[in-house]
Amino acid sequence: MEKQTAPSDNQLASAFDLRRLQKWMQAVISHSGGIETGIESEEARQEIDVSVGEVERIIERSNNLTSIERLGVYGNAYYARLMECLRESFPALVHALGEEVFDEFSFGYLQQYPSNNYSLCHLGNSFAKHLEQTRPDAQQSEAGTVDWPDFLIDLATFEWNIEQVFDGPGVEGQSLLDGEQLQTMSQERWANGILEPVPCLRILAFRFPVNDYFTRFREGKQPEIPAPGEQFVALTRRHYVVWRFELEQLEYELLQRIMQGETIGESIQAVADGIDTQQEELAGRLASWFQKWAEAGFFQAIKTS
Amino acid sequence: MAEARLGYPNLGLGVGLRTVHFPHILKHGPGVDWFEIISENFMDSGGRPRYTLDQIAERYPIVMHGVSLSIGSTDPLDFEYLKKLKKLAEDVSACWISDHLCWTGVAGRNTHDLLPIPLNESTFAHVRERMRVVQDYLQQPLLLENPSSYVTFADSTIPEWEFLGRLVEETQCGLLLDVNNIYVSSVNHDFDPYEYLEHVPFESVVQCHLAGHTNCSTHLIDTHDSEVIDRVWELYRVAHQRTGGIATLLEWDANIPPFEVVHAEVLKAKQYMGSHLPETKSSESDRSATQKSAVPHPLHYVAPEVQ
Repeated sequence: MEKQTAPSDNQLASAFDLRRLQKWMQAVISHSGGIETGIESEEARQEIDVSVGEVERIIERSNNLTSIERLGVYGNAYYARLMECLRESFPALVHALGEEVFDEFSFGYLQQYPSNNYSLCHLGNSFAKHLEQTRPDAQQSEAGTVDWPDFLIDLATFEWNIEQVFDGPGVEGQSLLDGEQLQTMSQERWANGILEPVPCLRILAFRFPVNDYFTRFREGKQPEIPAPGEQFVALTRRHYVVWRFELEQLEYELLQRIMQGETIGESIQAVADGIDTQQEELAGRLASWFQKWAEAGFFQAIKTS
Repeated sequence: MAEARLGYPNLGLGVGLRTVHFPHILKHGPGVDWFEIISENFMDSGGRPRYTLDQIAERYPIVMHGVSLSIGSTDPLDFEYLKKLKKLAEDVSACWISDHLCWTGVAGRNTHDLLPIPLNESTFAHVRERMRVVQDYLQQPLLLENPSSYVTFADSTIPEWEFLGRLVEETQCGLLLDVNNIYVSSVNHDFDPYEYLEHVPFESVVQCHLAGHTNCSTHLIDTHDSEVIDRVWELYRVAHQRTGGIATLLEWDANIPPFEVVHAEVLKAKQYMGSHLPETKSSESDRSATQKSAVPHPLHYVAPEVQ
């Protein structure tokens, strides 16, 4: 990229065009090493090639503050503001890590994934992904493998999904599929039917019991990081409040297939093939699941051909 | 001569709508004249925030105040953003839409800060053209707010008041005059806030903002986290006199107290209306708490409700 050199004393500062100035300022105030390191960074000097000592050619000093100190107001605010926002999005994760360690993760995240959206609501979109990408290899200890990074990734995924369900599209004010509609349908039509999930339904599988952890956290019980253990959870929203439902593994697998657009019959057949359960027992469990899903408002309608 | 306030009404004394106050507003229907929303908090909302806004908009006039238009940026205008902005304005019958004379990011990024631009002929032409496009798209005048700022550029040749005045003249936009921002910038940039006010084209000022700030001893930061200081109230007195009365709004964005406290704060404006009223006692110094550092507005976040 073509560099623009600092103007000599008799040149006007207007030699800098606005775009270069903005890219320079953004690079300076968002640099992880602070303002002075930012000014000397390649990213900034590609735009405006001034050193720390020359910065008054760009940013004036005031009676009380140097140019560096003035830029520092924006620099201090940049990470502080966004890290505060992430703390609010992931309160249980902040508890699990402690604020200081959480902030270290956030600081790294914001460098890797700076905001590119007009809304702060999207700021944490890639936080779980970032934790996954930067996870240390499973650590060995005398007690065996420590897999706490999985817990952190799961908890971040869980909290982010809650946030998305809370303010995403919902079905408030709309009619939902109820149990009676399913019961009055012929068996053949029912089996060939495709259930249409509400847009706020999320079906999630975790390696750690993060839903239990979240409950204890919300109850103010200062939970410790739990032992590994699979947990399957559905999230949905009713009357603008996010509801959490713990699922059995088989129930989760069935819901997954249904949400992929398979017919009810195909979905049941697929999960039944993979287990060793009496038909009557499975029928009983299916009846109770469908009843639960209908009461919880998981589905909007059933499409039958 | 331009019509006063571009023909917009004087809505009276309003309060910035914040989610922590939702339950109080819905339950008590307080006697506040109007609410201002942060546009970006509701543009994509499909949940409780938007539902609550719709309920509030049925009872109160709503004004939309944005923090991400980025009118001064050299990135292309975001028409998806403008489309959502316009739709929300229609949905809540917004009285008007405002944003800031600033840029928020470049090269596809958003710093979520209100960053200043150098004020010169070249940047004026840039902002003027973008204002024309935005106003054409929105099919209404946009109000621009004077931001609080913490740097000035060697490249600036035009005072902020003149820059805004010329924008008003050449684009027929309106102004949202933030008297706290004038005060904050006057301390940070060593100018006389009354000189600033002297040059404001008051006939185009549609709305006024009031807020508290943080005194960092060597500079001020626009934190919206406390009461309005007396010196800012005195600037408001002038703005009120010069406009003959305008929609006035209090912003409180951090350490937000109960609704009644916020409402009571904006009602103090009545003491500064009318040249015949006795002047309230004005302290000589900025009595806002002194801190080493602070995070400037804006920050907006809505915590989810979970069972």
